[in-house]
Amino acid sequence: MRHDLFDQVANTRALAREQVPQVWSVSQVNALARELLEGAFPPLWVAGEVSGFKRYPSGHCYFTLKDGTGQLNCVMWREAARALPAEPPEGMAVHVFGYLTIYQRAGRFQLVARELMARGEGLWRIAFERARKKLEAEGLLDPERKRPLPAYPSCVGVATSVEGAAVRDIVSIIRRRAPWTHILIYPTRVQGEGAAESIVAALRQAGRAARADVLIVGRGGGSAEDLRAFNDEAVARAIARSPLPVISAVGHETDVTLADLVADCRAPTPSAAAEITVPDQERLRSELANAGERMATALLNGVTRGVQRVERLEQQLLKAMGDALQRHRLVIGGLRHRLQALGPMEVLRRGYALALDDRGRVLRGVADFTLRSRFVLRLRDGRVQARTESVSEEV
Amino acid sequence: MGQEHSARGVVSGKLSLGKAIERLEEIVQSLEREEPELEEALRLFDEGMELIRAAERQISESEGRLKQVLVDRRGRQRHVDFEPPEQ
Repeated sequence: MRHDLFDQVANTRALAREQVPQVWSVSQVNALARELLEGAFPPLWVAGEVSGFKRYPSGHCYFTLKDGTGQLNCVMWREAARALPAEPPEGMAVHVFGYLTIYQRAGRFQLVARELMARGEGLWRIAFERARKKLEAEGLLDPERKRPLPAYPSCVGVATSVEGAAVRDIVSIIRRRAPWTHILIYPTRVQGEGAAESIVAALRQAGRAARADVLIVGRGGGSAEDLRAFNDEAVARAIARSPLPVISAVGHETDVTLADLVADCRAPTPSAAAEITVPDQERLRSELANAGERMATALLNGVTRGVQRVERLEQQLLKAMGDALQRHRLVIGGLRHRLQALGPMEVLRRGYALALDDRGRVLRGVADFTLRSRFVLRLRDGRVQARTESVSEEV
Repeated sequence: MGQEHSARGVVSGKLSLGKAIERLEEIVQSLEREEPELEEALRLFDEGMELIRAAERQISESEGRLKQVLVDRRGRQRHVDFEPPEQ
């Protein structure tokens, strides 16, 4: 087709001197111009400011690139536009990669953009902030939502690529620190087409089975573009939904990803995530030994306390008993004195005598005596056998 | 409360290391703070020592599995052995 056109042009020029000029259709002209233009320029980068960016329901995007003195119509087809993290705002300085062409139906000179890059990470920043605000408004970034990680997980789930350093580092660190821990790898793509969907699916699988006690989600370091899946809103929401606590492990130094913000814990690298997730066996061993010592000490203290208590009680008892005996002894002594004072022997000692009948009963008055009856006189130092000679009652 | 079975659980693998250590911490705390009667203290001490022995055995002897989870078309999960990539 192209050769035909050029031949026609050449022929026309040759014939022009002799015959009437040939008339061209609009379509022919546009097609010719397009051919010439596309043939003349290889794909190229163009710098300018974005103006009037509009995305149509079809997914295709249209905008104008401007600089101080010129404008260039641009179109970005759906496939290329899908890679845009966000729509560039009015006036944003960008670099656009594409090829120059003419849209034949409108006869419009335009740049078909394959890639649009903001200076620095402008568009990423915009997309990130937008999603972050949304998640924040829904409360998904609240610190109260963060769940504690299990201190001693028996099983760790790892959602990452089965190739590359991240999975290797995580496995080797868990093996070294806590070799008894089971590890379940949930394979995901971590960059490129379908990475976000694949991470979401892995999170869902891990949550559904709930075999693991905790889940590490991440990848090794990379550019902003490489980490894109971890800035995907759907991934962030899947992390927030996860029934298992999630540790994000996206290898990067400076920027925080959406995944980091939503995760229950953020580790700076996959290796760091593994270290956070499982205890170190050496430390655990010394903690166990320590627990044993503390128990032994506490038990010994308990025994010592018990012995001391028994000793204290014994002393108290002895003291209490001693007091009681002493008191009793005094009481008994006093009673004896009083009894002695009241007793008949004391009376006899003062010179009185006691008359008793033959059965030992005290004869208290003359009525107790009968004539000729025998009785005994009890004196201070002995007894006297006596007989009643006469009885006279004093009135 | 089934606490008597905890040490045996670790031995048989039914009780996780985490649960064992949690229980051990409880025991140490109650021995240290609650000053239980001697008989109870002895019982706790014995249980704690058995937990320590069982935990040490698990740390030293058991080896965790390393599996990759594959999902078939019906959404069923299958665990297959996994070999980490070489350096």
